[in-house]
Amino acid sequence: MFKKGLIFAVLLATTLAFWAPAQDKIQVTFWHAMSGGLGETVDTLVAQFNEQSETTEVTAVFQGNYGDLFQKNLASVAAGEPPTITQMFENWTPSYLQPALDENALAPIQGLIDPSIVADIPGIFVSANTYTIDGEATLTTIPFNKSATILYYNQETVPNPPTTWDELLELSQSLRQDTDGDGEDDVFGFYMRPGSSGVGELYLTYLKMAGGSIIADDCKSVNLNGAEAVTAAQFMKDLADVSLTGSDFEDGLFAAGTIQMYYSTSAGIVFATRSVGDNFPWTTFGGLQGPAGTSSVIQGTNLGIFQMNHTQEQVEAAADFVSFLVDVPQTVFWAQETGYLPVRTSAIESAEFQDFLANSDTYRAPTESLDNAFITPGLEEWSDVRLTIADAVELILVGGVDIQETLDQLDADVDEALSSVSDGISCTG
Amino acid sequence: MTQAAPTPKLSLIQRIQAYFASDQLRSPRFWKDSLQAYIYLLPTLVILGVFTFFPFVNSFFLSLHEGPITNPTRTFTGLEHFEKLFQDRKFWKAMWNTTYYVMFSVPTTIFLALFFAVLLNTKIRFKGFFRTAFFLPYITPTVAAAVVWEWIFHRDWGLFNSFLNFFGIPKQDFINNPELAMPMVILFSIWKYMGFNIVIFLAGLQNISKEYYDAAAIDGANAWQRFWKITFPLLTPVTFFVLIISMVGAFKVFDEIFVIFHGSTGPLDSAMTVMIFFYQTAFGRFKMGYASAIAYTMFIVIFLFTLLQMWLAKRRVHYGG
Repeated sequence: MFKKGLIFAVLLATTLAFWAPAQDKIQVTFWHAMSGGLGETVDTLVAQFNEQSETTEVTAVFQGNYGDLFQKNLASVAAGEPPTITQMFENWTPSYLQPALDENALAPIQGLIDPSIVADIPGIFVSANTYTIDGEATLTTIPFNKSATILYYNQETVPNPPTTWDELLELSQSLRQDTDGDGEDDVFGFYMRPGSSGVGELYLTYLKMAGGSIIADDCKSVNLNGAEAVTAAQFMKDLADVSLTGSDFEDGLFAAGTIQMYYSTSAGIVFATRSVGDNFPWTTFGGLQGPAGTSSVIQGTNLGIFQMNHTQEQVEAAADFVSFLVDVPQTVFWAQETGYLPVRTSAIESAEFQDFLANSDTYRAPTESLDNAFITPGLEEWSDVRLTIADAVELILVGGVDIQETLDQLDADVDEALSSVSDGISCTG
Repeated sequence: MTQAAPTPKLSLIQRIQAYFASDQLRSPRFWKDSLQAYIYLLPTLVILGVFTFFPFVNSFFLSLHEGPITNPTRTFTGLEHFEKLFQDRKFWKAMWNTTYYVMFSVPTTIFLALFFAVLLNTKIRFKGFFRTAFFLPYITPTVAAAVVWEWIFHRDWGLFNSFLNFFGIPKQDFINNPELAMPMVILFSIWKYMGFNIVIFLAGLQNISKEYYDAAAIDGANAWQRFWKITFPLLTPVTFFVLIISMVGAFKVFDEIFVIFHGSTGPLDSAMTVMIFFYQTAFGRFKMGYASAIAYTMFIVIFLFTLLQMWLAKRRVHYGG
C-alpha cells in the first residue's frame, strides 16, 4: 500500500513539475494543416515565440490536411470550443461569422494588431481578408501561407519559357516524343490534371488572362459563359489535346522527364526541388500572357483568432503571436523555408529577401506575380462552387462536350448556388 | 388421449397486462438479474447511442432542413432536398455507377468464392497454403492494398501493363480512362473480398453431412450431380448470408475508390458511387442537408434490396434437416 502511494506521489509531483510553469503563461492553441517540412518550420517559429514571450505559451497542433482542418474547426465551433488561432481559406471564414452563426466566433484582426502592420500588407491580401461585420468592411483575418500559380519548366528542354498562349501551345506540341518507338508518345511538353479540384482555379486564371471577370459586385452571380470564358475554355481544351493528362502529381512526372512544363502553385516548389534534385536545371515563370495580359491565382490560407470560449486576455495573446508571425524577419524566414510569399510589402522589399531571390531564381516568379494576381471570392458557398467549376472544366477538357453549352450550364448552376448569398456581403475575385 | 386446447391468441395490450401481472416482476431476484444485465449492456448501448443511433436520427433531421453546419438554428425545407436529388444528374450517375459495381462485383465474387471453396474442400495438396493465400487480401488494410493497386494499374510503370505488354496488348490508362476505371475497382473488390467469402463457404461445406454424399455415390451420382443436387441446395443458407452481406457492403463501397482516385470521383465521375457522391457533398461542398438526403435515399435502397432478397430466400433457401 505504501509502495503504491509512493509511486502515485512521484507521478503527481513529476506531472505538476512539468505542468505548473506552463500554466503561468496564457495558453494559446494554434491548429494548422502544415505537414512535413512546412510543419517543422511552423514548430520552429512557435518555439522562437515561446522562448521570447514571457506571457504567452503557444501550442501548435497539426490537424491533418486542409479538409480535415476545416471539418475539425467546424465541429469545434459547433461544440463551442474552437482553438485560439487557426488557418482558414477565404471561403471558410464566413462559416465562423454572422449570419452563419448567431454571434461572430472570430475576433476581427482589425483593432487587435498594430495599424502599421495592416498598412504594410499588400492590398490584394487586405481586400481578401476583409469581411462585412455589423455592416462595416472589417479586416477579419490575416494572410499567412500564400502562394501564386506559376509555370514550372525544365531549362534543358525549354531554354526560354513561353510568354504567350500560342507559344505555350506550339511548344507543348513540339516537345512531344515517342522515345521507345512503340507508336505512342511518352515525353510531353505540358501536363494537366483535369480531374483535380484545382483545375477550376486554373481555368479562372486563364479566364482572367483572357480579360474576363469572375463574380458580380453583389456576389450573387458570375460571368462564366461570356466570350472571354469561351476563349479561356477553348485555350485550355486545345492545350489539353496536345498535352499529357492524368491524375499523378506533377513533380514526379517532371522529375522523371515525362513532362517539361506544368502550371501549379508556388507551394509546390519545395516538392519539385526534392523530386528533381540535381537531375536537370529548372525554374519557374509567372509572365505568361493571354489575350488581355497575365494573371495568377493566389491560394493558401489566412489566420483567424477565435473569441468564442476565449478570454480577452487569450485573444490579445493570440494577436501577439499572429503579429510575431507576420513580422518582417519571420515572414521572410517563412518564405525562404517554404516557398510561400512574404505577406508584408516591406518584407518583399527587404535586402534579406531580395538577396535570397537573387540566389533562388525559382522563388522570383511567385513574388513578381503578385502585381497581376487575384483571389477567389471569400464566400461560404465557394466550397460548392469551386467543385462545380472543376467538374465543368473536366468535361470540357476530356469529356468531348460542347464548350458553350457546358459553360451556359455552369453559369446557371453557379448562379443558383450563389442565390443564397446574403445582401451587403463583400467579396473579392 | 385428449388433445391440448389451442392457446388463445392475445392482443398486444393483453400481453402487456399479463406481463405486468406476472409473479416474476415481484421477485427481487428478477430485478437484480435485470440490473446486472443492463449494467453489462450499458457501455455498448452508450457507444451505439452516440455513434450510431443519434447520427441516424439526426441525419434524418438534417435531410429535412437547410442551414450552416455550425448553427443549430436551421430552416425547415421538408422534402425539398429529396426532390432536388431526384433531378440531380450527378445522383443518377452515382446510382448507375453503384448498380454497375454491385451487379458485376457481387455475383462474380460469390461465384469464384464458391468455386475455390469447393476445390479447397477436396483432398488437394498445400490446402493450408491456398487457404491462407486467398484470405490474405481480406486482412490486408483496404487503404494499403488500394495504394498498391494504384501502382499496379499505373499507365507508365504498372505491373499489369507490363503483363499486357507481354501478350502484345498496348498499355492502358486504367486510372484515367472513364471506361476502365470502374472495371479496375471491381477487379480490386473481387481480389479483396473473395477470401472472406471462401472461408464462409468452407464452413458451410464442412457442415454438410458426409452421409448425403455416400448415399449419392451408392446411387451412382457423378461429381457434377452431387454438387447440384446436394452441395448447392444445402449451401443456400450460407449463399444467402454471403449474398446479403456482399450486397450491402458493395452498395457502400468507398475506401478503395477514395484512395485509388485521390479523393476524387474518378475520370469524368466514372468511379463516383453514391457513397463517394455523399462524401463529396458533405465534406467537399459542405451541404449537410443535401448529403443527409443522399444517405437516407441510399439507406432505403439497401433496405428494399434486402427485403427483396429475404422474400426470394423464403422460396429458394433450403435449411436441410
